[in-house]
Amino acid sequence: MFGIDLNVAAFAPALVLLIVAAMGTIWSLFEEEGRFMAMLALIGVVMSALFNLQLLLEGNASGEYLSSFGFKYLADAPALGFNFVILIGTALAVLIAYDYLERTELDHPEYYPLILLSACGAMVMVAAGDLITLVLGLEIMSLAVYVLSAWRQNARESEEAGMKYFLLGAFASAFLIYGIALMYGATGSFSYGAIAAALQADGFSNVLYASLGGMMILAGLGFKVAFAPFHQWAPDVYTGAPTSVTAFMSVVVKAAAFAALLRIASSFFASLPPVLSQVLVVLIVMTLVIGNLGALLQQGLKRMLAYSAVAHAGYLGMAVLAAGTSGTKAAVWYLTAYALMNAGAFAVLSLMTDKNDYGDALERFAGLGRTRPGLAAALTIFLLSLAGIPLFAGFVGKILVFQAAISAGYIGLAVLGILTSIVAVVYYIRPIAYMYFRDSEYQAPDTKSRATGVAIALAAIATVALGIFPGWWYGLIDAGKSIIAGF
Amino acid sequence: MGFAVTPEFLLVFSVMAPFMGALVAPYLGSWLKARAGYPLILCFVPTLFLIPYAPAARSNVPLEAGFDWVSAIGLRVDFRADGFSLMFSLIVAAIGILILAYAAAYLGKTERHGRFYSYLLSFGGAMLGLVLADNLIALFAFWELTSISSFLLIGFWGSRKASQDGAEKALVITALGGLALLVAVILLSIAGGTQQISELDLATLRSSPLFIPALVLLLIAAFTKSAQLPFHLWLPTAMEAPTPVSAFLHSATMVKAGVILVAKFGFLLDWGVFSLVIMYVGLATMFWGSYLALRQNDLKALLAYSTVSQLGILMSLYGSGHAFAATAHLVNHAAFKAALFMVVGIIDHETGSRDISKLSGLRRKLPLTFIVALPAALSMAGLPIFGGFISKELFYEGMVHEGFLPILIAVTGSIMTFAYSLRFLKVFFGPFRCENPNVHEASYRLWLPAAPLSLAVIAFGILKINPLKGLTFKSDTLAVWFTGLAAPSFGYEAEHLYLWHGFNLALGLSVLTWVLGVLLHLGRDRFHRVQQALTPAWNNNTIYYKSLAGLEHFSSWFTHKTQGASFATHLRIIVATFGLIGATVLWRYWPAQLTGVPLAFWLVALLILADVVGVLSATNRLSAIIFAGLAGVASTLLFVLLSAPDLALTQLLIETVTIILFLSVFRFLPRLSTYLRPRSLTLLDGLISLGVAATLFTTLVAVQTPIADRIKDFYLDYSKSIGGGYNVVNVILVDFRGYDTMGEITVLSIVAISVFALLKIAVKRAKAESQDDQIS
Repeated sequence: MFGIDLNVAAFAPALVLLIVAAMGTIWSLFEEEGRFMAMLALIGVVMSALFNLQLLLEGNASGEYLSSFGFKYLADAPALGFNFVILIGTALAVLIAYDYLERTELDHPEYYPLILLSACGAMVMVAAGDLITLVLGLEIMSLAVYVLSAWRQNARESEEAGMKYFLLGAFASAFLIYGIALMYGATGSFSYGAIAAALQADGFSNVLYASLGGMMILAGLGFKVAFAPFHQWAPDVYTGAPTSVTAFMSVVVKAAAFAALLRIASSFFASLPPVLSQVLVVLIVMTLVIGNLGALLQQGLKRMLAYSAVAHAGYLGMAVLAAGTSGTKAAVWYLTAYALMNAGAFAVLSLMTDKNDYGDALERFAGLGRTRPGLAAALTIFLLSLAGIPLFAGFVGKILVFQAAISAGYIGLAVLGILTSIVAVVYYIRPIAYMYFRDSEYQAPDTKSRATGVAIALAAIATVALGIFPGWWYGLIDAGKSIIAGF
Repeated sequence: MGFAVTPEFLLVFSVMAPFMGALVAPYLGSWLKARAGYPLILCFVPTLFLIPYAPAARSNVPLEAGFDWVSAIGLRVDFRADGFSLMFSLIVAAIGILILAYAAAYLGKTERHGRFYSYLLSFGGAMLGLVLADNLIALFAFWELTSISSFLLIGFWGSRKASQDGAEKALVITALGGLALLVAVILLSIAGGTQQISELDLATLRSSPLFIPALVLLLIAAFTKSAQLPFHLWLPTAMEAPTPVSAFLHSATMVKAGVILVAKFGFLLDWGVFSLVIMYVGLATMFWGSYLALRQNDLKALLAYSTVSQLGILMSLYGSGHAFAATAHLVNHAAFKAALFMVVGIIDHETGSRDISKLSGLRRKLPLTFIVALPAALSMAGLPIFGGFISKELFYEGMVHEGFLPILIAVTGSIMTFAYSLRFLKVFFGPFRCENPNVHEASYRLWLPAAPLSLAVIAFGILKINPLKGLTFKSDTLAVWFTGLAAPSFGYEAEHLYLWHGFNLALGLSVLTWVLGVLLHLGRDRFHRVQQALTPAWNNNTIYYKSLAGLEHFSSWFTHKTQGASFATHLRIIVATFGLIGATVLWRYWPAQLTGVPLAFWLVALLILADVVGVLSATNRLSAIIFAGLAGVASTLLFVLLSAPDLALTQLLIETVTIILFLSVFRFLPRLSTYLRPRSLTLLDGLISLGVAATLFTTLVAVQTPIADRIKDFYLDYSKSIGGGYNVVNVILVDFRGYDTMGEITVLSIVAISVFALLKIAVKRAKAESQDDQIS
């Protein structure tokens, strides 16, 4: 009954990151230079990706996936898919940071171990089959990001961002933990499978406790994915943090929190009273409206992307509603596309800002199509993909998510999603119009960075490739099923 | 094994070839400049190789090809060259070829040629894909591609303000329609259970509740794209595009997409009120378009409004089920409209003006252009021996069947059409007048591409001269072959196109149209004055700009209201939402009984109340933090009452440490009294706190002891036998949830690392700054 179940292979991808992070922490005690650490971090990410790929291929071939710690840590197909999203986000954040930190005089070697620790926490969150493991992953991930958001030490916005994120994040964690306590009180268990079983059991009478617990868990995770009205931190923190950190946060933190939400939604949300999904629908509606309208008038690209990130949380929320059917796969796909296009856009931005990381005004992008055609073309690809235009990855993601929502019966929500997408087209097209149709006196900075260039090129190619040949990646994540969290 | 060109490959390749050309175009453009248009003609040639498959399509055995896109969810790309699709794709390719040849002569030396051809070819490829697509999702994808590529083309001269506005308007309106189409195709694929258009089953669809919403959205998409009322406003402004683009966009691509959608899904839309709506919207558009066309002084604008009007005809015919008439007119319109735009391009190119009031007698200087323009314009007017006459007769016949009002609108619209066609031709007649006296005939490279279209216009109308039988009054040539090709798609009989229908009502109406049309042309000055007087203060354009401004205004207000709020406001919103959610749950699942609240609970509640009041009324930080500590005390008390002394002790310890930490930070902060808070805000905070507290308290009271006993028993029973320890709390920490404890330790180490990193950076910065000070 209590056999030892310690399957290192299951958490090898996270372990690699943890080990490299530990090495990096020791290294940074003695060194001032960050670049070597960046290379080490990239190696770690690649190794982790290889382990992850091996797990996925093996699992897909045999149809059996690994788990560890008595189903508290699951390495099933969705988890491995999300791991790839996390690794893509991490790799891009490292590549962006490589020259960017040097240029903005923020280069400290501790940056990279913190990024890796955060990614490791995200992986734990993704793999969690148990509420306590979820909290651990969440804290590992968040604590590092709190510090990273305050990395621009000379900028008040950055310090404010870190502080705000930390305080509000603490609130969110409190909600989450309170919710978990209530859920434990109601069902007597932490593991998703056991909770679902307890909720479905005959004569279950603690509906009030369980629902309240579910609500608190939803609110806590809703904060991390920036569902309105818990989104308030996102624009400020995304704007205040260094651009490379913003890229990381907007991808990895969001992916991990959505993974957790999806797992909960697919395991025991359905056994809770319908009021939960009703509240979730309300949150998603608010998120779609507030995110898209908020982005509409932004004069700075960074803040526009911050609001667009909120809006995308709304679209992903639809996948959560359909978690029981095809929602999880749709979300993995969407987030893969999102990781590439969003981090790509931030990578372009990191080359456009001044030395002090200010200056993302749209006017600065005027005439970029002529002065820096490559950069302009890449940003165009990312923005069109974010807008959900066909032949780019974002389009397939939107199709999958809308399809999932409609087949789960949320037709009205899908229609709202499409309506708000129209608004989104306006604000995504605007920077493109600036780049190609306007001239300006402003001379775009000719910042060059080979590492960031590699990041942009990879992200742009992948965005187009996934848009044209979406089947390959979908086939990989679709082949496997998720382990039903066990007892 | 060699590589064989299979028919299936040819079909896919004919759609892909323009896209491949679009990739090559930038290089060709920088090498050959404008003349890159000539080699790029090859991109449309594969489509022409589909002609041998026409007989098969005619006998309803169309060529089909497809490949998996996202196989896992059944996303495929399928093409199907059924009669109608094949017919229209041949039109797209043929006009595409002529446009490329024309553009090669039209574009100036300084244009960005590569980019132009690249956009133009993707536009053509998207249109071919849209026409041939047999898959709902692929259809939508190509549909959106036409919107984007047309956006790029319309805004090609992006430095012009009007160009930007036109491009933006086209994109906003057609993207709106595109998203409607997205929902429509998703609904159709759910309702029909397939994404294959040719496999959609009408009976299955009709039984689905999603059917009607899908049709409504489908119509919105078609109306926006084909510039039907009230969405027609984007089309006239789209004429800011370079003229070759306008010629392509108005004849064979873009605006025809909506008509094609209605034609393709005609079997769904032919249903009660839907066909009526389509017919009347089409007729209204036809009327309004030709009315506005009469007002224009710019030749290009006249043609643009004329397109709006002609699209109305097509829409009303397809909508009311007169597919044969519609198809005949579709072909005619494509030919004469492309030719006329090219002619306007030539006039603009040679005289530097498109203003009707400043040009006349051009026939003397541009004789060849005139010869090209004449058949096209007369076909537009609907005069015999040209194709336009035949399809107009068919239009009248169809509308006569529909009733009095439709035929009335049709005739009135046609009278104005006749008048504006004459107005168009006016620039060629009369004495020569032009601001630029040095007008020469255009190079053959400009008029030659337009000539085949004019020939086609004649070929579509002209009598068939059979040397054996003498003159027969039917055109049995190209036109029949073409319109007959589409027959199996609509199920009509392949009729002959008769120039002579005998004396019937339609002919009488045609004569009436000509007479009144000439009168209207002669009395145009008076008519213009009436039009001036009737100009309303608002129109669709003002509504469009007003709604754009309104959206901007609203989101500005919204941005102002929701952004830049203080941290305290954020917290207020979050906590209030938290309370609201809790209250919702409580309200939904109100417990059966709320009796038996132990006295101790009330004590705790009282402490928390004191806490709220104390913190809110505190005037300095010290008293605030001490009051806040009351919450901790309350928790401790609760733990003691529930016989958990170790938890109580821990709680007390944490409270103490927290207060000490707070105090040590306080000395860095400004005095609390420097922040003035209005009384109303304090009240609001109090209400929020009490509301949330009351919600949670009620919940706690409602279920005081859930199933804690069972949990407790488990650990008490197994603590010794499995964990090997008597101290149950310790055993839980190091054994039952040992891995979690390990995780907690990891978390703590990360906190330590992070704090260390921050401190190190701060120290480094301080050092650097002090060095800077010393240097300066």
